[in-house]
Amino acid sequence: MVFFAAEGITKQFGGLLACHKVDLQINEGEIVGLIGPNGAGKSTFFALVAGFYKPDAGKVFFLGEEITGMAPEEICRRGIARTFQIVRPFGSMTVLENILVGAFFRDKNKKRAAAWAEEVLAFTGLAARRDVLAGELTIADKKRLELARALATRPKLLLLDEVMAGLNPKETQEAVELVQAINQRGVTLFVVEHVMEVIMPISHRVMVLDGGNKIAEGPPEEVAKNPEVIKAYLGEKYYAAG
Amino acid sequence: MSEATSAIIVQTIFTGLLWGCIYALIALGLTVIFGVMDIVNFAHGEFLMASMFLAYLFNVWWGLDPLLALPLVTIVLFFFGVGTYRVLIRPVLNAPMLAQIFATFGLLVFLRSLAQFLFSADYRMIETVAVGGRVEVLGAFLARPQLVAAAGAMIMFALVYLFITKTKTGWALQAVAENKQAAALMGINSDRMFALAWGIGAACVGVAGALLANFYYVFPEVGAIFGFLAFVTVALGGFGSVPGAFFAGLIIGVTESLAGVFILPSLKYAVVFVIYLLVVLIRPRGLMGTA
Amino acid sequence: MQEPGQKISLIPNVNLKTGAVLGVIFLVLAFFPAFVSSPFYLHLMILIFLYSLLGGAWNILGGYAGQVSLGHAVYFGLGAYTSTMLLLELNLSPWLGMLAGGLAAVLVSLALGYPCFRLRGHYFVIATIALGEIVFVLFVNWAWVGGAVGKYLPILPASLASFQFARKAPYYYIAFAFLGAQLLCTYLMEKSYLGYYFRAVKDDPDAARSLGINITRYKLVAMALSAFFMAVGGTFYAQYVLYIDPESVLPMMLSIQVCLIAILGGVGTLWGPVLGAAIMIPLSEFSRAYLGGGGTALDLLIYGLLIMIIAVAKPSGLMGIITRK
Repeated sequence: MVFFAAEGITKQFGGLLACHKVDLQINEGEIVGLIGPNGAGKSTFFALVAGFYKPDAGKVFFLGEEITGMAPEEICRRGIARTFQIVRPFGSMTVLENILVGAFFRDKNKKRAAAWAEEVLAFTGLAARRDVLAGELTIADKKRLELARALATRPKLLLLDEVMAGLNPKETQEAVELVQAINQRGVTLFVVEHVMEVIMPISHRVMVLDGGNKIAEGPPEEVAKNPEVIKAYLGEKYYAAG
Repeated sequence: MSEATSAIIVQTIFTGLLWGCIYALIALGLTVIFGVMDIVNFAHGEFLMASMFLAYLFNVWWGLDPLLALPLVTIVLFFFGVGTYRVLIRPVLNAPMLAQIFATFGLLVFLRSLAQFLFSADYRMIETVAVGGRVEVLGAFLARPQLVAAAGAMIMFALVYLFITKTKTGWALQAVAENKQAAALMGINSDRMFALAWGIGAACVGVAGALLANFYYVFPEVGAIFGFLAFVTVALGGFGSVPGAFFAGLIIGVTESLAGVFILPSLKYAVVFVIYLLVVLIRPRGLMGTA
Repeated sequence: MQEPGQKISLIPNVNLKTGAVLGVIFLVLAFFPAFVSSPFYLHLMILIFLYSLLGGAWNILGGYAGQVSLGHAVYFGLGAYTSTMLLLELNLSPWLGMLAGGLAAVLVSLALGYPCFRLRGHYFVIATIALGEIVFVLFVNWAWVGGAVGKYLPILPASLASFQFARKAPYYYIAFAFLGAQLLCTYLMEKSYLGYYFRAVKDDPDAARSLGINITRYKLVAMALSAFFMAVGGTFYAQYVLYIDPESVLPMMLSIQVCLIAILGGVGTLWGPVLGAAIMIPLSEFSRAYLGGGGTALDLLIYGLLIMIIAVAKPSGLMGIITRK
C-alpha cells in the first residue's frame, strides 16, 4: 500500500493551466520537497492535495484510500495536517490555546489534550511564548505556532506551505532543525519551498514544478544538477551545491 | 381572465415598477458603499428616514415643497454620509467584521431612537405637495407623486451610474473597489474615495427620501422596512453591482406589489424575505454580484 | 511539577479576591427579596436576571462562535408560545412546557441554521433579520395562536407546580436560578473543547477546518444551546406576565436588545451579558418611569451611542475595560 500518491493532478483556472498531469508519490517517513520558480503551480498543487480545491482531473490517495476533493476537516481526520503560507493564528487565543485547538482533535478530554499540547509546545520551542496572544507574535514564532498547531492533531503526513519564507538565516536554521526533529518523531513531511538552500539539505527526495509541469524528481543532489531545473531557475542566484 | 383581473394585474405591476425604481435607488446607495469598501451600512434605512424627516421639517418650517427641498436634503445627506465615514467607519476599517457590524448597527439604533425621542412615534405626512393627483397610463391609474418619485429615482440612478462609469473620479472609485493597494500605487487616495462612496451612498437615499416624503408617511420606524428591502435588493442584485441594484429593485418592487394584492397585504414583506433567503442560499452571489 | 492541565485557565486571576467578590454579590442577591419588598425593585431585578439570561444565550452563538444573529427573538417567542399553547390546549405543566419549548426552539434553530450557516458575514446577519421578520409576520397572521391579539394565560392559584405566583419574590428566585444555570452551562462550555472550537470558528473558519473542525456542526451546537436558553427565558416571561403576543415576544427590538446587552458587556465573556443587562435594564426602566412615553427611546438612544463607541474604541466591551484587554 502506497503511503501517499497523487496521480495526474490537473487544475485549470480560466485560461491558466496551473497544474498539468502532476504525479507524486511519498513514502512513509520521508521528507519530500516541492520546489519551482514563482508561478510554477506549487501553491495550487499544495491546495489541491490539502483539500482546498478540487482537481479538474487526477486522483489523490492516502493510505490506500482515495481522498480526492475531500473537505479539509475530512482530510485532517485521515491524518494529514497542513500549514498556511500566510499564517493564520487564532488571534484571540494564546499560543498554548492555539495548540490546544489542534490537540482537541484527537482527544476532546481537556486534561489529556492540555498535556499533549504542553508537550508540543515544548517540542516546538514555544514554551517561552506560552501565554502570549497569538496575534502579537513575531512572524517566525507565528510560523512556528502554525507548525505546532498542525502537529498537535497528530498527523501522519504534514504538509508545509513555504514555512521558511520571510525568515532570517538564524530563524531559517531553527525552522530546518524543527522540521528534521518532527521527521525523526515519525511524521512524514511534504514541504513546499521557494528557497532552495533550505529544501536541499533536509529532503530525501525533491520534485520540481515549472509552469504547472513536473520537470524533475529525485534525490536533491541529482535534481540540483539537472539542466532543466537550472534553466527553470535561470536568473535566480542558485548554484548547485557540491 | 376577466378584464377586471387583467386591469388589476397591470395596475399592480405598474405600481410595483414605480416602487421598484425607488428601491433601486436606495439599494444603489448601499451597493456603492459595499462595492468600494466591503462594508454593509446597517443604518442605511435610517439615513433614508433622516432625509424624509429633513424634507418634512423644511416643509413645516419654511413651506418648502419636498421637490424643491430635494437638492438641499441631498447635500445635507451627502455630508452626513461623509461625516459618518470619518467619525465612525474609518476607525473600524481594519477591525474585525464584528466591530464593523456593531458600528453601523449602533448607528441604526441611535438614529432611530433619536428620531423617536425628538419626534415621538407619530406618523406624519406632508400636507400639500406641488405635484399631486392621478394620471392614467395604459389603463392603469398611477399617483403622480409616485410617478415623479420613480422618475426622479431613475434620473439620480442614471446620474450616479454615469458618474461612476464616465468620469475620472468615478473610475478612481471603481479602481479602489477592485484593488485598494493597486489604486494607491497609482496615486489614488483611497481615504478620499471611501468618503466619497459614503457621500454618494447617503446622497442616493437623500434623493429617495425627499421623493418619498411627497406621498409616504414620515415616522421614526420608516427606515426599518426600507432598510430591509434595500438589503434584500442588494443581495438579490449582488453586493457591489450597480446594474444588479437596478434590476433587483424592479423585481422586488413588482414582487412585493403582486404579493400584496394576490396573497395578503400583511404577508407581502414576508414574501420578499423568503425571496432573499432563496436567492442567497441558491445563488450566493446574487444575480450580478462579483464578491 | 504542576499538573499540566491545571495551567490552562480561561478566567484570568480566578483567585481568592474574585471569588470573594462573587461570593458577596451572590449573598446580597440571595437575600435581596428578604430586605426589599418594593415591587418595582423586585421587578427590576427580575428583568435584569431575565435579560442577562437572554443576552448570555445570544452570546453563546454571537459572542463565542462569532455568528451574529439579529433575529434571535424567534427562539424567545417559540419558547413562550410553545409552553403557553401546551398549557392552554393540553393543560400541560408549564415546567414540561418549558422543556418542550426548549426542544422546539432547538429543532427550529437547527433547521434554520443549517442552510444559513453556509452564508458568510453580512449575508448571514441579514438572513437572521429576514427570518425574524418572517416568523413575526407568520405569528401575527396565525389565528390559532391568537394572531395579533395574542394569548392570555389562565390565572391559576399560586404554586410552584403551576409556575405562577402572587408575589414577585418566587419569580425572582426562579429567574436567579435560571440565570445561574445558564452561567454554569456557559462556564462549562467555555472551559471545554467546545469553547475553544467556538472561538476557532469565530477567529478563522478555514484554519479551523484544517485542524479537523467541522465548522457547520459546531455552529449548530452553539445555535442549539443559544436557542434553548432563549426559549427558557420565553417561558419564564409568559408565566411572569401572563400575556403574550407577537409584539411582546417576537419583535425585532427584542432581537436588537439581547444583542446590545452582550456587546455592551463584552462579547464572548461569561459575565459580559450580566454586566450589560445590569446597566441597560435600570437605564431602561428608570427612563421609562421618569420620562414616560418618550423615555423608551432615550435608553435606546444611549445604547446606540454606547455601541458605536464600543465598536470604535473598545470592541471587547465593559469586560474588556475591567480585565484590561
